[in-house]
Amino acid sequence: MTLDIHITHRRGGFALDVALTCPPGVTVVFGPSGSGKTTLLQCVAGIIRPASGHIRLGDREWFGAKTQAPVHKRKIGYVFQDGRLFPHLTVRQNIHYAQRFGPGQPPETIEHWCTVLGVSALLDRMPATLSGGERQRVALARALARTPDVLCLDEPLSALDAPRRRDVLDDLERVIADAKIPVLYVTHDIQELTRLAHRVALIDDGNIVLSGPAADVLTDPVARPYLPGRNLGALVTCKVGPTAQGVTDLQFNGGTIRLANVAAQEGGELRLRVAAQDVILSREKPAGLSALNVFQATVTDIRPDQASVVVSIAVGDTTLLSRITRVSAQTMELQIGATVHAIIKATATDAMA
Amino acid sequence: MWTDGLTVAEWQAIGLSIRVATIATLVSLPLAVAVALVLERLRFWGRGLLSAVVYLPLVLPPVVTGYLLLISFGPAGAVGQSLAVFGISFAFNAAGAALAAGVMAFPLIVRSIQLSLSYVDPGLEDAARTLGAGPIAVFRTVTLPLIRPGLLAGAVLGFAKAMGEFGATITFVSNIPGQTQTIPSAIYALFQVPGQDAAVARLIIISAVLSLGAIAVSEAVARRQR
Amino acid sequence: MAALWAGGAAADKISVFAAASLRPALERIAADGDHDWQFAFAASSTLARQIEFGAPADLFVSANPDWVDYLATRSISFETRAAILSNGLVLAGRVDARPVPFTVAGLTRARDGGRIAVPLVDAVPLGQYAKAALQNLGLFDAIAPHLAQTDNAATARTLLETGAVSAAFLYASDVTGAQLSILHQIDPALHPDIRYIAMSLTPRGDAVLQILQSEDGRAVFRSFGFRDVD
Repeated sequence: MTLDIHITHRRGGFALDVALTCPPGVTVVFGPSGSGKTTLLQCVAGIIRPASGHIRLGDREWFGAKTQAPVHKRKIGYVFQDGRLFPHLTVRQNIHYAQRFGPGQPPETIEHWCTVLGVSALLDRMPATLSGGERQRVALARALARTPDVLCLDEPLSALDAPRRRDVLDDLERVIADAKIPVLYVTHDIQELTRLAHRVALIDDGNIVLSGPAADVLTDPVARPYLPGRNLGALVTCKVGPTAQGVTDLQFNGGTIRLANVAAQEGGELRLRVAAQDVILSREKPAGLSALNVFQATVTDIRPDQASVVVSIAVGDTTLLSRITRVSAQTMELQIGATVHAIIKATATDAMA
Repeated sequence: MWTDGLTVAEWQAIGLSIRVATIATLVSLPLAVAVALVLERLRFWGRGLLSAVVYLPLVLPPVVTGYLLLISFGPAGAVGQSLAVFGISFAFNAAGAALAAGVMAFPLIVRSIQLSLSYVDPGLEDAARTLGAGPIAVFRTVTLPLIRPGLLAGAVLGFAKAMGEFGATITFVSNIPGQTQTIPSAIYALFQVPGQDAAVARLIIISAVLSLGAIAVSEAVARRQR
Repeated sequence: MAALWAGGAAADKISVFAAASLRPALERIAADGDHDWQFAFAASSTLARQIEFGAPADLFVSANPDWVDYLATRSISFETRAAILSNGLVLAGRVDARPVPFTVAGLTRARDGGRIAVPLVDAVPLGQYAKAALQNLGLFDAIAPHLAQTDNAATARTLLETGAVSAAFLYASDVTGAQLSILHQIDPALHPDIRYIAMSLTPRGDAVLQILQSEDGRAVFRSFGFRDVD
């Protein structure tokens, strides 16, 4: 079922005006702080009533000119930034809370999630005794046990430190990557986006600037102002091939990237973020380089970006970005349609299984 | 036994005080929860006025509160006469004593509940709603358990206040042994006669023991819930 | 802040502690004279205990002898002690009510289905007088369940004036000048003599006592419904 959002809302000097379609899968709502991400989620959940528009899930109308389905009738799984576990209930009671109000997931399913999320050992603890990471895992288990039709996650990892964030992110991906329901995931962290997003909605000052498949949005020039520095890059979906002498073949639509130290199962899928800074261009085919990954490509777009120039290139059907200096761009006499060689400096740290 | 010295009137006063304070507290509690919720959670025109009315007995001299009760709920008062049609009377009886005690204790109970409500994160109630809880279920499963300490504290405070209430009670329902003569009224009556110091001391001790006992019980209950 | 601690014992004022029922009459006498009076009006019992524990009173006027006796036993030194006033006991009703006989039937008619207000019958002097009068005629047990006992005479009068009761036992002086009627003058032979006892604790108190006992003073008291001591 597809979640169709078309709403306006005004609060003080801030105006939200959003039109967004979320098919099953993860839609990452990405944007700076104060851009209206949380407000959007609260409108979807019914915690805030928008001024006008509609919110529909399939043929059900949650909000419209004459409808405002109450929060508890919407079947939303909501994970808050701060967890919001009930302090007077045990972890088990928290996770099973939704079962009080109607048939939820069968116990085996809840048990399975508890195992996947690593909270099985915490069931008899009180929330006050949990760490931040444990709390968010429990909050996620609780939201899933609701058997939601739509899952909303509002910066679920933002309260955690970096190592903890990576841990929870692994589990999170395991649980929601194959979601058969629309998942709205709010964040301003590029790592979380890369790992989780099927689609991205770029939001700024209450408006959706750009939305679409993650790979398209990330390479779209419109998105550049929101992706400073190393955040700018392409998203390449690869199939994990064989590993020989510690180097793994990653096949993508346009060739094979070889990377060392990739922890991934052969035959699996892997998302590789190739930062624009890590792609070097050359007019001649380079020889005698240590880099394994050199591809022939066609220039599709050239655009100045602050002091540098961002060049879009097509390797097969895959678009990559390269950030080069203006001087280099002039010296190389780059123009659209030109053939270049792209050298990728990608390392395993950018590969995320 | 030192209790041998208690007269029938004193025993009556003790029994009546406990009954009056218990009823006043129990009847006030649900109403106080409702008022506290309205004052703490709703923003509406006239909220300040409601707050002022609820807290008025706290600042008014008790005698004035008693007088206001007398001219409204008394036999000649508008409310008193309307209720008389249904056979309900607060005139010079234990129900009137409970009403006076309840009105005086009410602001303290509301205050205590309101305070604990202000510490309940409304976000938790939102979370409960996303998990399928309707408004009543949210209150029952989240709000109420979280304000339980305030509820308990309010009940104890209200009970102690009701036990000690004097000014409003004696003004509204006078001082009838067995019907409206509570411990404070009995103490006051004994004070009027020379040579009753021993009886006064007995009643003061009993009164203190009862109120401190209520506090001890509530602490025990609170500890068990933790 | 200092002002909080001042007052009370201001040296140049004459401090008079008096039973609350004397208030209107005493204030009139004070207004007519040249002395600077400072009054404390309350229940005689309250005032007696305050004096016992050092309240700076020059003169104490009690509504009954008991509290003056009490102070005497507490070795409070005093100058003079004298009965200065008497009062009558009445059954009072609303302004338009008709007189009733002092019988069960009469009292039943007076209370009109409600109660009769009376200050505490075992504690407050007025209540004690009323109880004695009722007992002397064997009326007390019959009427006791219908009494509303109040903490003092003023409260009994308030109950009557607000319509909470239809009748109240009051002093004759309480009814004088009020919007009330006398349902029955109780025969003074039925209760102990009603005596206001003055006790001067200082020579200045003695001087004030003489003003109260003067012909002018007694005239004021009479105009407020009090009676001379025989």
